[in-house]
Amino acid sequence: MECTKWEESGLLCTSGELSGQSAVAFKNHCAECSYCREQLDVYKSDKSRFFTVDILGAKPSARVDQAVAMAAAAPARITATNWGLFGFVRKSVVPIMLFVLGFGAGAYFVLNVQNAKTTTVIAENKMSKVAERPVDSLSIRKMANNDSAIKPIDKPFKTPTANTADQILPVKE
Amino acid sequence: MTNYIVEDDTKFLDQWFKGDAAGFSLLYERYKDRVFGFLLRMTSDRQLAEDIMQDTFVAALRNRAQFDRKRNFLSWIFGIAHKRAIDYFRHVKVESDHVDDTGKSIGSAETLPDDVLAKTRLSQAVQSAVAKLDPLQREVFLLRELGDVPFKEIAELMACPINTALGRMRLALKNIRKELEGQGIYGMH
Repeated sequence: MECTKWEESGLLCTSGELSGQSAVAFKNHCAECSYCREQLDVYKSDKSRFFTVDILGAKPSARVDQAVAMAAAAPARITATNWGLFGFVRKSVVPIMLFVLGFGAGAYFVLNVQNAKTTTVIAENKMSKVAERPVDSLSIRKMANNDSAIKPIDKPFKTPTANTADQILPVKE
Repeated sequence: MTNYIVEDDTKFLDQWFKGDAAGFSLLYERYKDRVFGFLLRMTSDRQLAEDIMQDTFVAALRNRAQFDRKRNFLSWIFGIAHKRAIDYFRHVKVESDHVDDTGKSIGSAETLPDDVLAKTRLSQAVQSAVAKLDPLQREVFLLRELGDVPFKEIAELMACPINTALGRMRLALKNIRKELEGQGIYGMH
């Protein structure tokens, strides 16, 4: 009668896949089970007699040998997989570039806005100071020094005198 | 035996991973008969088996980085060969008439001495028994016996539970034995 242990553990034992404890358990089982013991012996015998590379293997033609030898001798392709860090950098060039560009654009925008605000505040302060200051000839002169558009009047303003009043032509009726 | 192979593989793998192609060539020389035998018995077509074999080793060369050094190189290469063969069968409908081409690799036995003749007869009988197996049983049997692939990995490759893989192996062994008995080979020493 066939024993299921041969399929469950026996074959795994032959391939060395049984853990230490299970291997010992199967050996102990074989001491009692003639079917498993016989199967194990027959398999070992078959493996050494029939299941050899000489019988089951085969020789490929020289064409395959040459093709594989040529492929092995050819320089390895530069791929992301066999170039480690280089592959990583090569793969991440585009994201890094996009990040740098985005960061640059953002920084440029933020700085410009800040600059514009500062300029506005300074201009407003100046204007308010100018407005508060009493207007006299000296301040106008000072302002003129800063602003060429405002020209001071060099000659003092002449109040009309009698002589000048005489020079006014009478209105013809 | 297996440990001995793995130990030497490590030396060749180190060589290969350092960029020396000789390491890979030595691994190829070591395992080419096993891989080709597997593909030949899977496809029953020498030309096709050679094409898949070439494809397998070139793929291994290109995908070196994917190889886990903790694993067995032979199992890895058999995994690639198995995948390539299955991919081929998925894309191409192969005629079901079974032309056994495996005899071509053995050559003519007419002028051989008696002991060689007996060996050749034994080889042909075993190959015939393997060829007559159910394709799934044959797949498990060849992966295990030629590729030394653990059952756990066979189950992963064939996308089936490990118990199914073990069941197929048990049936394969049983059927081969029955076939060899039928040919009067079994029990012959």
